[in-house]
Amino acid sequence: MSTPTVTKGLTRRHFVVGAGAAAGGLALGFHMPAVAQSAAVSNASGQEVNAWVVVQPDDTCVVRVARAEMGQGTHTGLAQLVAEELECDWAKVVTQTVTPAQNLARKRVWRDMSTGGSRGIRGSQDYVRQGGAAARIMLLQAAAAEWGVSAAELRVDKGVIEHTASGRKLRYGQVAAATAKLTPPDVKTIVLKQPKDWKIAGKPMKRVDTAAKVNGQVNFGIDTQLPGMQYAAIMDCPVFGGKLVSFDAAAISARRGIKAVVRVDGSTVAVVADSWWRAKMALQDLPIVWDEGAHAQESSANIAIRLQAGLTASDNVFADTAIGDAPKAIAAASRRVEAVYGTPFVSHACMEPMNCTARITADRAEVWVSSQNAEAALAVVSRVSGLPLDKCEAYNPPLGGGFGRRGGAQDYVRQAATIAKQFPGVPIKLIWSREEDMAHDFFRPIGWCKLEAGLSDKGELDALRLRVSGQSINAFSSPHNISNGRDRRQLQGYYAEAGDAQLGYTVPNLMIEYAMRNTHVPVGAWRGVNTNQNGIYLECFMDEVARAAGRDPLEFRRALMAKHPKHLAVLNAAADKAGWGKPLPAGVFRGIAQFMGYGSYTAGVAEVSLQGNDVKVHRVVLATNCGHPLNPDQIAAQVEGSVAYGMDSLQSESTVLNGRITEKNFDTYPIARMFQMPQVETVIAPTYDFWGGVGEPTICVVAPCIMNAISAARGKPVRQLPLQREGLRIV
Amino acid sequence: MDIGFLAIKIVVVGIHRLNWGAAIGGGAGHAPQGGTSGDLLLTAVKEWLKFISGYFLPVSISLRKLRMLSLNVNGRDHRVDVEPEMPLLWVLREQLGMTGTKFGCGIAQCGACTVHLDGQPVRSCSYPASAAQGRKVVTIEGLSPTSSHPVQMAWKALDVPQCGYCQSGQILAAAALLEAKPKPTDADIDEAMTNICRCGTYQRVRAAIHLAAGTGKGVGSVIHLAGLSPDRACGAGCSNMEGAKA
Repeated sequence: MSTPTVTKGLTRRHFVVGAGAAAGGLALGFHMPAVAQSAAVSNASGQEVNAWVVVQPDDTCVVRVARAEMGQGTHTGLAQLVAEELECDWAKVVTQTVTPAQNLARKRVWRDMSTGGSRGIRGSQDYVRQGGAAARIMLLQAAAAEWGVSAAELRVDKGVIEHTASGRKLRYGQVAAATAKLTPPDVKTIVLKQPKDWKIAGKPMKRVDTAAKVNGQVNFGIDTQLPGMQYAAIMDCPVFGGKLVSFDAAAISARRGIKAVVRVDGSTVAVVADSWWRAKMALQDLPIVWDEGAHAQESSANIAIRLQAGLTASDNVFADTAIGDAPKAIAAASRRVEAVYGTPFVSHACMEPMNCTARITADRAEVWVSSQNAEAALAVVSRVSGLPLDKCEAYNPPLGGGFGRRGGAQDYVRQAATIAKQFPGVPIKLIWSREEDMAHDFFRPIGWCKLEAGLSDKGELDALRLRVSGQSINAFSSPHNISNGRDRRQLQGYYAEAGDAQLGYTVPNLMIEYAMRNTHVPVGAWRGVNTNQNGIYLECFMDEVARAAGRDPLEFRRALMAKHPKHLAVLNAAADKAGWGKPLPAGVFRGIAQFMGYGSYTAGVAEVSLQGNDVKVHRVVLATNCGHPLNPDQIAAQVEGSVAYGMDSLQSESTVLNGRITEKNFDTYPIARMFQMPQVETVIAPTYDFWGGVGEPTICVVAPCIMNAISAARGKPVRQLPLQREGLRIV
Repeated sequence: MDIGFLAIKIVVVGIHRLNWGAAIGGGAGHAPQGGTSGDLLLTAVKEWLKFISGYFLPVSISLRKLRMLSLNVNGRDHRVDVEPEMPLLWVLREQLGMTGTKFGCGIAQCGACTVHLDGQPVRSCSYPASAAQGRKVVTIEGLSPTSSHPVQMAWKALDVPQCGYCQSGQILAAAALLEAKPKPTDADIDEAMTNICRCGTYQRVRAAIHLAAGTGKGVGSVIHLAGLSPDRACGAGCSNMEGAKA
């Protein structure tokens, strides 16, 4: 492909729905499953039945999706939900990504586009199913009108409508045009199908996007190509909070391909060139003077001291749960257990480094960006360009990983738009080097936790006190979410109330506190967010307490979970499928954990052996109750991925030294590789009475169940991450 | 040809030698793939000789023409006007517009940029384009004309990709492995597949390699069904949890 342009800079199979097309003049990207590609490509136009469904004459059903696809399979899942109610032929379903400007222009008919917090399916399942059902009702109405019969006399299967009395048949593609004259049904009259009647939803349907991901055809944001495009490499002050003083552009400006050196903001400089490699090499050699600011002496060691002080301090602390009198009960207990745990900053390290392509003219501003929140990207483009939202657009190709990094902040969009504004009409593709990506992440917050338990003389857990001392995500990025200094988000998974992230244990005397201790390091949501650290703290400590009580870790937990039947059921399912209590090969040890996040219940059992300081993880069995399991095969994919990402956080750390991050590439920041991966088994244990998340919930039990297995193997608890701090490594 | 240009060339050759080590060495502290390292070093020496021979070309050839590199990518010849040390990755992506090969780390660690060079997997982010002259470069776009390479078929059968960003490299690494070892063991896979996947598709990658190889081995996703069935869904308040118990 030596032509320099691709029509929309998105996928090569993108094409434009002409302005006259019935789809309302939308120019959208199509992503097709293998089975339907040729049909759809041959006929891009079609009848929009409603916002969610476009039917083409060849019966291809285009399902519109507003949430971002970053690998979690949400496009497939959302298409399944619409197709289920639409009663169309799954083999003829294609998906189409809407853009934020289109969403705004139609009064946000597609609602929230933000994709995070494992909300993609659970946050939109009701209205997308209603959209599919409404389209079906209208297609049946159109056929009924054609035949002059009542719609009640019709049945439909795989997009073929049949008048049962006469045997007459019409396909969706034949009646779609006639729906244009119909009034959509009142959403209140729509009765959705029961899960027991599902044929597409709840089934392990193939992903809609695999074919383009095995031949290089899928285009991520970084693959955007536009006529006349130039490239930008960027460097922010290595010390967070530092400033850019000056740079010597003349030192590099004579080099081949260099177009400009740009001050992007108070701490950032970029080189623009006709090739990203040329820009990056020149930036590396650009003489830059930084004012490293107040934090240039900061280090992980200093931060640890301040956070550890927060474990016993009385300032800036609040108790989210205070049942009974935990401190008193612990003091009076016949046996006490105490431990301090620590978890480091970790980086997202998405495989696709942060990037954004921007083109700004006097009256139009556009960005092409892999984003978890294209509407936020649109807002940023509008703000930077000074143009109103309706003169802006944010095209949102698939993401090469998101994991929370590509959420609300959209820092790379701000930078790309700022640079592009200086070159009107010239598309600028900004790419962060891996070093920049890992030095300027929004890291998973660092935290310490002190736990104390009091056991009765019968070995029952009578009192538990838990205090987290660590950095707050809300304080960094959304202080408005903190009310009266009480930042509950950092206690995710410890909540008393049912719903999203409830504690699964009943303890007579229970105190759960948070001491906010912030650092100068930017923090943010990292797949599973605070359930990661909180799951480790509590679940590893539960094993310590069980051991002190002389109880089996599973039995010890069960005794505390009678009032939390869903937590218990999932724990039991994991234990059962893992064969808890059954003999293991010599030298292999098990660990168990359970926790809750994102509305789903999860539990895990790991099998580990230890050779000296080398940890081998053999098998991990993970159970989840996400309420309605929409696609078992994709649930398994997310569970398998959670094991890999969770194992990364056992062996990786973004260390602070001299105010900056030390680990800036994969040579110093170890990522789990093939040879380290255990066999993963997924246990799907649904109850079909709620919609829970899938992408994030299981990660919170991965690290603790492995850590508990290691602790069992070496007879000494693992309390510090990464494992290197305990002298261990995963092999 | 002036002395300055000669000096540039010598520097460039030095860079080649440095980068070959990184490009060949690969992943996570593993031994390089058997044989690969020696073969490529031999080729490197030949390449150097080819380079040196450039100094004896007639002076009438312009500097610019000298700078043009000839690359054979997916069976097609291309002439590109780039610095000899520009990594092959960026020539493919920016000069030839072939974006299937991905940028991940720039230091030959992650494998997202893997291409075949005369059938061998090479990390193109750290491989100078000039060193690829006279060799056959195959990228993900050229692995098969219809996505029908056995590795691609297996990848589709098992729905291996999640985000998909690393998969071009994974697929090319797997295809090269099967070329060298048609019936790989798990240990072979561990050694050859050092590419990073942040989505964690490793289990399916392993299974798909076994599927493509027809080894009859390898476990893909293991899914146990527990809990309730849809027709016995948890009722109001969900007091009936028997079915959800192990």
